[in-house]
Amino acid sequence: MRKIIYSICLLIFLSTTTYAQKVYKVGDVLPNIALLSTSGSVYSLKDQKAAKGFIVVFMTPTCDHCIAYEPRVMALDKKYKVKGFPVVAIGPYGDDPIKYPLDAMPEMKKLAQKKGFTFPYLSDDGFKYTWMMNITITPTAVVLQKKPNGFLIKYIGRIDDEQDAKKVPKNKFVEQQVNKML
Amino acid sequence: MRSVLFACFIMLGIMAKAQSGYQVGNVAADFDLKNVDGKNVSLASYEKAKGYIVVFTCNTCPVAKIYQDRVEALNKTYAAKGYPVIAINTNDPVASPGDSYVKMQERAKEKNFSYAYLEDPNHVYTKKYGAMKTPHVFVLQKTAKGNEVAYIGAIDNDQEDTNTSKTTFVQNAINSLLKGEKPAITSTKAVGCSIKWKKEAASK
Amino acid sequence: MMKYLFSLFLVFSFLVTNAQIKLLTLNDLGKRLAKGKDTTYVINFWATWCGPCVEELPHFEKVNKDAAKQPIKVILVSLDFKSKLKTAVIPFVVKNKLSSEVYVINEPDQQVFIEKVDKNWSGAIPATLFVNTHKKVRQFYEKEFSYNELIETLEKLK
Repeated sequence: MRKIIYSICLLIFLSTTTYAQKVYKVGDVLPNIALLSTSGSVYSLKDQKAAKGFIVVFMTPTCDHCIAYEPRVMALDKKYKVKGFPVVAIGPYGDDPIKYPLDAMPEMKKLAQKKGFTFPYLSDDGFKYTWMMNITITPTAVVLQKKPNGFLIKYIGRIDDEQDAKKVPKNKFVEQQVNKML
Repeated sequence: MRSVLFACFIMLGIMAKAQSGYQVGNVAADFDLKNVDGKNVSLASYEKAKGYIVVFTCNTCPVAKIYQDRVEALNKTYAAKGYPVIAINTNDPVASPGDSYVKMQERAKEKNFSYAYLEDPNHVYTKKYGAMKTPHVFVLQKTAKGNEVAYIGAIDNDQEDTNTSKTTFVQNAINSLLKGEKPAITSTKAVGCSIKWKKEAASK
Repeated sequence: MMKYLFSLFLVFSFLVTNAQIKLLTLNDLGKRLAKGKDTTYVINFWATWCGPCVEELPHFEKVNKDAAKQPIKVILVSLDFKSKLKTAVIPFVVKNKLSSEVYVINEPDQQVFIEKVDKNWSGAIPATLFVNTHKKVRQFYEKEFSYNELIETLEKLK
């Protein structure tokens, strides 16, 4: 008897949790991303009429691997922006420099200027998109393809399989994904 | 070559974590962290305190959760006697969304916390105190030197309330301090989940 | 739809596997190890709520499967709460199709059992104990193991 009650409770619990907080996975369509950029204005994916999709990269100013990947992220933008797939970087820690002195908007602005980012660097205030796509480590890339109803998530994961900037990656995951759409 | 470098990083990381943190007798640093009610809290905020029960904890760890009621009970018993509980969430909100500030507020409201529940962005005080797990308790006593660490470790030796020879370490420590004595047991092993540190993409 | 199917599966699975995962005292474990004579036991301490533990379980599973004809036995000892045996541990074992022996520790005093396993153990998991009674081997590691590290350690114990 107890087991039946247990299982009914489990069913109810499972059904309610699916509606609690939607996590977007590969194959889902993201309605939009619109966040404040280091330039001072809001950057919205929907407004970018020329783009066919986006290479979104979640990265912070201080994480060692993010710093190591910066040249590669710049190279991705240079290669694919002209083909319709620009890079959009996102800092997960938002705007508040008191809470996140190392990673919030002011440090992001300094980084974008110092490195001469050719792509927008947006601050994800309240971790909205970070949690939406279950991003737990940095850097993580998300490849999006523009669709009539939003942005189809084609890939979520590492940029390539080589941490060492001096070596050549065997698999450039993001490039492989974007090339499929060209 | 890369694996040697990686191993070095790990070793440094382990050494750094192992060496940092307080021992019994050290003077603990004060903090200025945001509470779930939006106001900042420090040890100094409690002017009449004789000491503090600093509990490094989180929303998501099952061990921390099973001790929630006991932490509440500690505050109910000891705040009036001069030893308030101050809880600090150790986890990074990106690595552990369930531990974000908003989630902390929800938990505090749901369980009616009578004590402060502070967020520690970038793990500043988690690292300074040397909290390695959740829950991890640091009992501080106000002395001439400052806020001295008097006990570090677990709340008791009875996670599931099944131990017939239960020892309530934190209570015993504070009862001794209130009598002007040193706790008989000043440190025990903290048992619980590892801290959810800010994470970087790692290669395997 | 998938969630309902999954939960139905869970219901059936725990009705079926209920008896297979037992509680284990250190005394029982000790007796088991003493009887082992020539067997090398790889005792991994883990929990369903411990991320790094769950990540390394496949390595232990592989060792257990590959070593079927050798005197090597993997025993997974969970530090999950006893009260979570049916609701957390068994569903986890079923979902992940663990083939190694799994137990939930049955010791009322965490401080005491941690000391008994190893005096230097901080209580952090994952942690692994290698025991071979005949060879008088007892080595304790408070760390995560990659598959290669597991194999290397076992090689050195031969």
